[in-house]
Amino acid sequence: MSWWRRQRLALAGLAVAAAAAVSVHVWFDVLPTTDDAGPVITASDGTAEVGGHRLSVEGVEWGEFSAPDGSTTLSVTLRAHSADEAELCGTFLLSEAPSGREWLDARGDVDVRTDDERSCRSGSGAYRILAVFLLPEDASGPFWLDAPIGSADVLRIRVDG
Amino acid sequence: MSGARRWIAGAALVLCAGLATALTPPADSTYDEFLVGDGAAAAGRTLSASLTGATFARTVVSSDGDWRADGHWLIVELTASAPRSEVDAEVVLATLHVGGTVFQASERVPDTLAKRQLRVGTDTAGVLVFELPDDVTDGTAQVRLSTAYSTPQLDDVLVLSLPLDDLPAASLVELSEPMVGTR
Repeated sequence: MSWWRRQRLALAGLAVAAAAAVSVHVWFDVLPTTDDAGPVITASDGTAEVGGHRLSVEGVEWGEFSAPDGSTTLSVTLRAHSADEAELCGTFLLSEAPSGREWLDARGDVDVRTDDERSCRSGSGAYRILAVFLLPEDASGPFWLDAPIGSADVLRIRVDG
Repeated sequence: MSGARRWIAGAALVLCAGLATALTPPADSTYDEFLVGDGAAAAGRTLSASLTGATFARTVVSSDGDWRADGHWLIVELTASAPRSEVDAEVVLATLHVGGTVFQASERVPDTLAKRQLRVGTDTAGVLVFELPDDVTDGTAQVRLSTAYSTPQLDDVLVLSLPLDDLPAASLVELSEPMVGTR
């Protein structure tokens, strides 16, 4: 009986152990993990009710505010109704569907003078939310406006450029 | 397996183990940053930046005139933007590497580009200010920028090369607030 034949059980065990070690390494150290951001609720007709808020797109306007050379502003106005127990909203995020580029509200860098809210608030019968984004001139859309609502939901509204 | 073959196989295994040990990178390299760029401009995963100028100064003054300090200051002018996302798009850690020493950008100077929200597709022009020992006046320095504080791990760190030898020196520099684009 040859050495390989005598050691076949040990060799098989070694092969299984090596495969297990490689698999565990790939699983924990190589494969990317994903954050579960919760369900994305898409407002297909521009209106959605999430977390005690009813939000609808009232207007989209390019160049409403002064912007640096090579840039322009995209203003999105939402009509909102919020119940007393409505959940808190997070920061609005605009993403360009083809490129994946993402913009945050740019009121800090754009001279915006308005009484409109920056995000949703609870216990308000009717009010307006204005989100202003500073975009480069090559951003043409279409865009998604994401509004995190509560701890799990994300309201997604399509904004055509 | 004969006795000689066992010895040969054992020696081969010891050599293989030694080779594997020698070729295995240190544990820290698993988390090292990726240095990107080596010129006046660089672009990484979360930041893009270009050097536009640099000046030594004995005194720096904030834009509103309320703050000033004497010392050996290096004012680095640059433009920066975010390549893809404005989420967490800030220069959180800015360091100057020169002669084997690392200096962190001064946090007591107001009106700098540090921790300023950067924009996608639109440059923000501003300065980073380093307070240096008096003898740091020549050689080639590296300005390193990252969006992670302290220990960038597994992410791009921008490296901008800055020759110090021929930089102008001013007695006083009045800083300006960072400006988005050129209005």
